[in-house]
Amino acid sequence: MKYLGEKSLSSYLHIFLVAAWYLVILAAFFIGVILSIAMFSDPVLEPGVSAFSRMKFELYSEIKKDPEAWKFFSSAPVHFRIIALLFISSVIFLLLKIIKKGQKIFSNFKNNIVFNEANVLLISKVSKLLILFSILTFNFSSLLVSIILLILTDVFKNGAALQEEHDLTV
Amino acid sequence: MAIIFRLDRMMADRKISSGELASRIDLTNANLSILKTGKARAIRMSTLEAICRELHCQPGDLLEYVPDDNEKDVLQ
Repeated sequence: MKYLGEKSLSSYLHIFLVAAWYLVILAAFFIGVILSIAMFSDPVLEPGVSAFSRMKFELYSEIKKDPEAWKFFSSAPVHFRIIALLFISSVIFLLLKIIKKGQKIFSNFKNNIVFNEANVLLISKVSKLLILFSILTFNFSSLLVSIILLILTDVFKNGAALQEEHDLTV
Repeated sequence: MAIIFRLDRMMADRKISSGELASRIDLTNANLSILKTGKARAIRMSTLEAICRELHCQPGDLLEYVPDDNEKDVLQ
């Protein structure tokens, strides 16, 4: 199994991350539409004529099946809803940033650029973003991954210095 | 850098092009140009040996020490 270069694990991961980028954008769009319908419109329980109001009606009748959830949902104040929306959008924004940086790293690996100053910067940025992401989503397995990446940043920094020394030795 | 590699002068004396020298000492053109522009951090003994063999000269003919500006102040 090849890990670096053309037709290797890195090139497949690059393709996967490009696909993931578009998938996350698509999912974020639909989640945004559904959430803004659910959060910022009046809870009217009558199916209207338009597709929009039918969708709203179905959403609300789904929530109404659970009385506890409905009570919580209908009594949540507006500023709470705005904070929830901001939280979700910031998580999605962080995820998109991490994916974009990952794409660049794996495209560098695909082109056999490994121990490079650009990669050091990218990996350190990814690890910091991942720490923020894992704290926001209470996902502590990715916190562990980000700490490992933080250590790997130093490894890559040393590697880049050695690579430069080697390249300039004739 | 205080050490200057006088490869250009020696190549002109021996009337040899950089491409030909590169192929004779098994060095890529890119590496030879690193050497000529003075960007090199270090030079292998084997490379120096091959250059001296092909140009019929001593390492002292190729390398020259020129003090930096701040080093000149110390010497004076």
